[in-house]
Amino acid sequence: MISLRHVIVFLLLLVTATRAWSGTPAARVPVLTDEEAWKKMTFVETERGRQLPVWIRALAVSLPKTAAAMIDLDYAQRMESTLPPLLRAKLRWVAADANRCAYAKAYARFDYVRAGGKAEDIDALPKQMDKLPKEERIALQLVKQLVEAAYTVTDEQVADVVKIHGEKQTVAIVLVAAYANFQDRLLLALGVEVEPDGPYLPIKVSFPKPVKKAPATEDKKEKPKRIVSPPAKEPPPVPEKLDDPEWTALSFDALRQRLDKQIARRQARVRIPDWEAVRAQLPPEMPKPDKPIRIKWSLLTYGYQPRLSAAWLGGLRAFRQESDLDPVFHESMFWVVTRSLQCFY
Amino acid sequence: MGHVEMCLAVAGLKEESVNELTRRLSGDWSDFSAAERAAFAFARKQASEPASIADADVRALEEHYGRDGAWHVIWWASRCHYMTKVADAFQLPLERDNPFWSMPGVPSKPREQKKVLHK
Repeated sequence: MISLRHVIVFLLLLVTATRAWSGTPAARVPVLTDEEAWKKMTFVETERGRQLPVWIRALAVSLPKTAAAMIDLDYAQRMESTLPPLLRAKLRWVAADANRCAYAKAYARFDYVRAGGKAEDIDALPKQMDKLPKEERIALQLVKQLVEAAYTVTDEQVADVVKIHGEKQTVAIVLVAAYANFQDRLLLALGVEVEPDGPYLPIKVSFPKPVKKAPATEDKKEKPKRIVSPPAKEPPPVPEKLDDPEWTALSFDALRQRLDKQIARRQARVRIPDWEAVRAQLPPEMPKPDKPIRIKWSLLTYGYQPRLSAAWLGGLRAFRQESDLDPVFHESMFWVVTRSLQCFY
Repeated sequence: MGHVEMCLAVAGLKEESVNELTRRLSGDWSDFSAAERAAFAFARKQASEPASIADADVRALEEHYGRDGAWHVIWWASRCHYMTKVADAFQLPLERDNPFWSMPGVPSKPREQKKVLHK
């Protein structure tokens, strides 16, 4: 007689076999095939038809322009960083390890081996940390700390890294941590596993040059209505109140005081390039701003790492074109993140 | 956090509305909608322990925002962590005047908002 247990085992085997058949690794969201994803990204001009990482195929379901920009960002980070490839792979591995992201660890390991390293060396990294040369150790420690508790990083710590690596490379090191903290969160939320024949090499893509529009036209232009899947008619209840003592422990007035301290801070931990210096080295593919950029964050990242920053901002621009999230709502979410991380800039 | 408040001003909120919104955000969220609370709870959980995000967290977003909307919430919440790592690493001094008004595509600053957000 067939028991319930037999039925469950059969169903599990069926799911596994189906995944293996389609070549699609596990994910908690729908994932397109390579062909379907490339069809959605018709505007991509080079290296079309290559095998795409699962997270890109998942993103392309709803955000194809953003997904294409993410392919470029991934390429820039993995192939065009100014850091030595072995060090970059180690930094990325340490960040993925701290975030407990197995997918990103596998990719960092792949990049490390591709750059000439031994897989067993990167696997042993946590145990070997103290024995590494100082220049490597302080960079790895900085990235690990940025992942785990960025607000605890000290002026002296960054000064040490700058002294050894210089400002440009220090910014590149921090941008590995920044990308890792974005990508790992995305990967973990999507619940993706490494592709059956992955990890894959990064893909070089290019896009048509943006056509410059008159600002007035840009402002008035309405976004095309997207076909979106509707929310549930009766969504599940959400707790009426946030029950989180750590959250409410810091009063609104205390937060204002921290903000004031951030304004009062006299200088950043590295020199911030001025607009003229930044403008002179903006990558050619980047749309040239009409007005000078005055955001210190942007001056710093563009000034020291123009290619990585243009790739990141390209993703952000694509997302803004495709997403119809209300700006007040998404900034409110960002506020929740900055409060959670105690980031007052 | 300072930049978020500046972006809220660029999104059309007056200074007092920005203050009111952030005061509510710093509280227990009881006066936000269920969908907003779901997104904020996701962002908070993902910020603290990204590996703890489970099927149920993603399903909850899908129930409130639809599958596409949930994607957008997840991408945006993840994106915030790129920005904060750079800001935290270099401890950039917060600009006194809102620099987002001079960004491409941003409409002109209304007269009533032409004062410094933070003094």
